[in-house]
Amino acid sequence: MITIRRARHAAVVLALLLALAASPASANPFLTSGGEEGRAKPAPRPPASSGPMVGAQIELRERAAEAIRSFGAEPSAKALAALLGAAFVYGLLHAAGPGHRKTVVFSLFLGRRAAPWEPLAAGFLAAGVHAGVGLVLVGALSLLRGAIASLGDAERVGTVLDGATFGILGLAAAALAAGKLRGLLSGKPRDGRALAGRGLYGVVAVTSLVPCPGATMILLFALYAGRIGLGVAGVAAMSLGMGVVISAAGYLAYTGREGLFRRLKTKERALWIATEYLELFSYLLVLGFAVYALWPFLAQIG
Amino acid sequence: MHFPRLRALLLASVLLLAATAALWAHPHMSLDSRLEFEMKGGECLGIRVEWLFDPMFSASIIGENDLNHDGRFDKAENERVRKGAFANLANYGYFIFLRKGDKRVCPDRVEAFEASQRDGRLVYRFRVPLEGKGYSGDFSVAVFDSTFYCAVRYPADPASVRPVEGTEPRPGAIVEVAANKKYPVFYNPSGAASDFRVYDKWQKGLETAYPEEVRLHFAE
Repeated sequence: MITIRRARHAAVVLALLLALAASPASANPFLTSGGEEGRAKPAPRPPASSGPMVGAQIELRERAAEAIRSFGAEPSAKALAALLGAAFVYGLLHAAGPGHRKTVVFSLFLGRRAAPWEPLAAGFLAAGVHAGVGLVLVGALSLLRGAIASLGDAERVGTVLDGATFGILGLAAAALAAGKLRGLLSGKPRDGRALAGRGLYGVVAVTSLVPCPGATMILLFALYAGRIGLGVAGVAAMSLGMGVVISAAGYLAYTGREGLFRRLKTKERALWIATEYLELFSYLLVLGFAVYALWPFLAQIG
Repeated sequence: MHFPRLRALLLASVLLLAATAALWAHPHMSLDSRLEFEMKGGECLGIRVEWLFDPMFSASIIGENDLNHDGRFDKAENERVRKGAFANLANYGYFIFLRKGDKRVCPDRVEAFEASQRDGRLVYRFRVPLEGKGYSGDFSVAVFDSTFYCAVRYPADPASVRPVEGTEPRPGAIVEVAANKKYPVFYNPSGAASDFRVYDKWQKGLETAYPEEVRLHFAE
């Protein structure tokens, strides 16, 4: 049986390999990799479409920028409220787009029993880590550079983290799926304890260790305006908006699973099968998602 | 949890996700694009492109590259911006998709890059050379980022026509932003780093998009 610990070790090795392999990658098409005129394409899979609310997102970002500027000129509660409101709604819309680990949270709650508050906790944990890592990254890069962090550096590290966390996720899901399958085939299935309690939150936190470029840009804008506190407040408000959407993905899985189990509660055999196979399915779903997201990365390495 | 409450929670989650996920929007930055067609009679010799960036991307690029903080980019700073925050667009066809009939191409080079600042916002200007490439009569240009990292908007006056010095303009030129539902852009979002082809036909693994186009044509 492959243990979670072994999977973690393997994941760390893979993450390092990916980090090395991905160093020339650049997520922002404008920014040159490593200060040279490179020929890089974004390594993790980019989204396949845009949509009708793009205009609204742009407008919200511009409102947030304007609020930071006007607060800088004349601090007021109105400007602060405008920033927090715009950042919150921007977070909602932004997290609704591709990425932000909604699929991960959905899959994990599909495969595991949970208390009613847990999808909420996991959603806000994912959003908090996602936005918080941007703060840490910009802070660390700024300290290293002795000046405000470069957007290109922040995005390059973000791209590497994106690939690495998908690598960790894929390996963990593969290990868990293999363990589950082995248990099912041997007739002695384990009961899904692998991702119980802190394990689930660990997976959510580790896979969310990717800075959100939207949050990074708000923070950098505030730094250049000399208003770091406003940047942190804006990122926090954005993170709350993202948390609502990511939690909703968790609740979708949670309610679906609870509803199914309620219907099956008098049918012991069917309940057992549903529990086991739903857990296996959730691991395979996460694995498939990780491979899909990593495919451009792997193609680049190949 | 009671079943009715569970159903209400399920419904709320579905509605929230459907309401937001259906939007499927994900740009991290934006630019307003304006085009100027350089015409010699009815032939287009080049396109002058101007991009005005959003305040957040602008702040980073200006902050990193306007080293003496004088509100403009001198020659060395301009080259710094070009190398660090523009040259990579060669891998993306400079976001320019030219279409004549059903033939689509991206320019392999652009020239006369110039970065400037306008009210704290970053502006790029560059020229797409089209001499001898047969762009006359009726053709279209889309400014489009196939990675959807950057949203592109056209202002109310998206393009204009300017005759090159010493020539008479062909009368009746019409420029307009046109919805495009017939001529898709096929692109490979996960191809190798060196792969930036514009595909004529859909193949497995390619994505399809219908970017808005700026169309130049002449009244009969």
